[in-house]
Amino acid sequence: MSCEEPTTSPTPENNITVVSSDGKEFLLDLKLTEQSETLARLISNFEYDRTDVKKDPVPLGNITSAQMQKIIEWLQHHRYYPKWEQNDIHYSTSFTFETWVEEYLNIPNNEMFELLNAANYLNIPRLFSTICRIMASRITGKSAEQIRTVLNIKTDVKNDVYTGIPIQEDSSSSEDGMSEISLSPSPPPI
Amino acid sequence: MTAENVKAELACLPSEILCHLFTFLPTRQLITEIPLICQRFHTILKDDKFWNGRIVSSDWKKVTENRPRPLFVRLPDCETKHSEYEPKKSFVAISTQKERWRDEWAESQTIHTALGHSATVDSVLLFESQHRQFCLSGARDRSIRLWDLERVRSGAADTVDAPWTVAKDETAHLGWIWNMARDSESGEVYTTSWDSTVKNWAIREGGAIQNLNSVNVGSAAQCISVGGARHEIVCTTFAKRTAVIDGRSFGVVAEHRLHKRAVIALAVQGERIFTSSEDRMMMMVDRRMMTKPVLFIHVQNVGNRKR
Repeated sequence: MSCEEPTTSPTPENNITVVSSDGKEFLLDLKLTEQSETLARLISNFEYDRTDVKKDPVPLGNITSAQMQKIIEWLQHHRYYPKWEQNDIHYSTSFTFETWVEEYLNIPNNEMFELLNAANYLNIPRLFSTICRIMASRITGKSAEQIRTVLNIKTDVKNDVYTGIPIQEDSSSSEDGMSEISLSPSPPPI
Repeated sequence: MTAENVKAELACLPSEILCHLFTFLPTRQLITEIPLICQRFHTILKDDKFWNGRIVSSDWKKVTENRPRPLFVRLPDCETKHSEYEPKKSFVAISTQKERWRDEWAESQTIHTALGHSATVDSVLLFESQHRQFCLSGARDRSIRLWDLERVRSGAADTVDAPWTVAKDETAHLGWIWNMARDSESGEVYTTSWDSTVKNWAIREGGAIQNLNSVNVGSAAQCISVGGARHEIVCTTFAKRTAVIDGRSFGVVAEHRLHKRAVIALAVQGERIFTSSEDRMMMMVDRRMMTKPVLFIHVQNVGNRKR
């Protein structure tokens, strides 16, 4: 980006414009974009945080306006949260969530998957992790059949594209492999 | 809901997102249930890369933290390059152990430091006798001490009236005490030492350690095991020897010198005596025929086994 004459576009100084796949424009506060690593990196690369740089709208080709709306809602809510730290989240199998988060993610599965995909694309670790955790909390402790029901997954025994070998429902090959791995119940706390 | 939205289901997500999602699920469920859901999940979870990634990433996360990391696991090359290496099994084993010891590192756990020996303690033996737990320790200061674990654990002070050390022998051996074994039937304890002797001890009521027998095995005695036949104690020495001692006469009744250097590890199971030595040999000898090894393995380089 060259430094041309001071921008005359109507874009306010601390904002950038992103364009969703269906062509809708969103004005984003720079403070909000800090939560998205993808946007933050883009902004620092193009020096959009400087006022004397002409800012072009950022196209987000695989995010629809509905998703963008949802994501902005998330960013607004977490505006003053401390920066996300990669912590021991994998080991703290805590499936408790803030009430706000529970309400926010009380959406149909397909929307949740799209949101997960969008969060991954924009690299918003807190959102990405939270969706993963909430999905895991719905899956944990359920049998394969129950999970299929919860996640609307159709069994693909017949139209399999990978190996052509159907998975047997009850005694699968993975169960055979299991016998060698001891999966005895975890020991009682000492 | 539009037609596009209907398509968006879990299986439409890219594999890397699925992998990340899977890391939040319990390991057990990942192995038993998730692969059954659909072929795609099965393919992902069948792949060693997923499990290798989990072993590595759990390491990496620990490294980036500042506090001490007691659960840090790094698999040695000889394991990861082994032909039978299965990351899935290793990961299951690692996570099982982490789960088992997780509370051990929590704040609520305390460590008691018991003062007693004045030199390195090379050998400890934990056992239960008459529903009380004891620990016997043997050290390089040539002494053995018997600790009452309940007193240590209760947090009571180590006083003259109720000492933590309920029995001791300051001159148990004339050299470093290297290894100990206890016969759970008779309750007798055997010690090996660098003074070339194997000694037999009885722990009496009222806290006295009584030396019953002693036998000289010719050079620094290393390992000892009571896992064999009744009244038979197997020990190994620095001078290539693996000897069977009869517990009644307390003399060497059988031996082999098949190793070329010091025999440094021992396991006995019934008639089978497994030893490993500084000559990089591991062998199994049958008690009934000690002249020839039944099985031996020469470990040439770490991770490169030859039979």
